[in-house]
Amino acid sequence: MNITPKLLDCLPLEMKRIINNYEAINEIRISKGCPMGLTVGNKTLITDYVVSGDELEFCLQRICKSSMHTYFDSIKKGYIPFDEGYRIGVCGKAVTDDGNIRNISEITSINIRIPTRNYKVPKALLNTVSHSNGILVYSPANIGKTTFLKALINHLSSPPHNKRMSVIDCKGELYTHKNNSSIVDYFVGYPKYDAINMAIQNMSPEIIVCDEIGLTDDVSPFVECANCGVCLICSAHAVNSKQIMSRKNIRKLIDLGVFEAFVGIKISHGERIYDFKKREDLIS
Amino acid sequence: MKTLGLLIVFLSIVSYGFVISRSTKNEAVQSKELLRLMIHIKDQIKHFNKPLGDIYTSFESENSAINTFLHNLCITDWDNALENTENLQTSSKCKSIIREFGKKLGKNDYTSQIEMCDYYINIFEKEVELLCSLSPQKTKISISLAFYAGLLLLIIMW
Repeated sequence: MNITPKLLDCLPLEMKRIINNYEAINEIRISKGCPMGLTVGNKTLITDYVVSGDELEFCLQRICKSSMHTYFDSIKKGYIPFDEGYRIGVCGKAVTDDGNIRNISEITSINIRIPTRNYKVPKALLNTVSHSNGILVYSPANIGKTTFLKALINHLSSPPHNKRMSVIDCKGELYTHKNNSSIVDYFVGYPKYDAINMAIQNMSPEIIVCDEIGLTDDVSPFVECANCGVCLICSAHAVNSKQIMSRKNIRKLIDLGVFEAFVGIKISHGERIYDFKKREDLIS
Repeated sequence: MKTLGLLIVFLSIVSYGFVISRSTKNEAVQSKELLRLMIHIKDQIKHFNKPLGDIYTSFESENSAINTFLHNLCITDWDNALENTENLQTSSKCKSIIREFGKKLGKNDYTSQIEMCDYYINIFEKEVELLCSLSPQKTKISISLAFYAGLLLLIIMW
């Protein structure tokens, strides 16, 4: 089974029993009063096991280490950071104030995404990519962008490259397999744009790594970063290069020349396929 | 032989008085430590927003009962931790406040948690003040009572 004991500890006994029947689970979906859902490979299965409100509360308390106050800001943003690279999405009933989420009155669903652990990024690709100034990695959700970024961080911070890096890790996903190098600095949980400015001003990085960009209109910190001579390595959600070009904020960055190389990841017949493109190829 | 027996009875009653007085003192000391723990929890949430497990392990106390209680807190909830810490001495009123405080801990957002902590710390502080102010009197009374009870028994049985 691909789920670690730490996560299993957060689940009620009956759920564990069901999960134990499957080899490679990608997602566990828990909703109050609904049957538990599992994504195994490409298939989504609905089990017969109905999750009660108490069981959902049990999972939530365990995941939050009985400390909702610590995770409430991220809960308002729809996720709970968890060790070992798991991504835990939550949603429920929001209390809003002037269009802003003020509180979550009830959490009704939890989606646990299990990271892909046992695949290696081809070294030849890492070598090719590492010579580019500004790299954007894109793929649909749960395909391996974060794993690719982690591999790239390890590759570039090791000899012969030895690049000084600042990793802007808002959700604590890149930090989970923290690189044991003094030349990689992690900004965990900082707001993205503040962290970029802090990194440039104080940590003198040669490379800044940032997960999931393009969700807000303000692209100026990234442009600033490129103008300061700092190379950017980012990831974004997109199925193909056409989609990446149609994302307004990312398009702005591409047009300004922030990214020089693009790596698309997709899965075909159970294998990961990497599509490496130069900026000129993408624009044309 | 009779004198020796009576002396033993007298000394036992007096030493029982000392045991009670020590337990009264412990009650005050441990309640103060529990108050310190509550304040520590509030401060750690307020300034660092830390998870409870980290907060418990960062608390330092020289009192062995409080350390056992903290150890129990890391593996179970407040209710069970209170039950399982046999040498934890505090008044029943303090225990019920602590129990309620523990039940509400970690179940809400940051602001509500701070407000909740403030509320229970205030109540608990008053209770501890009362306990501490009564402690010297209680200690004195229990020793005197034991001494006079022993003396009375000595006179009756002579």
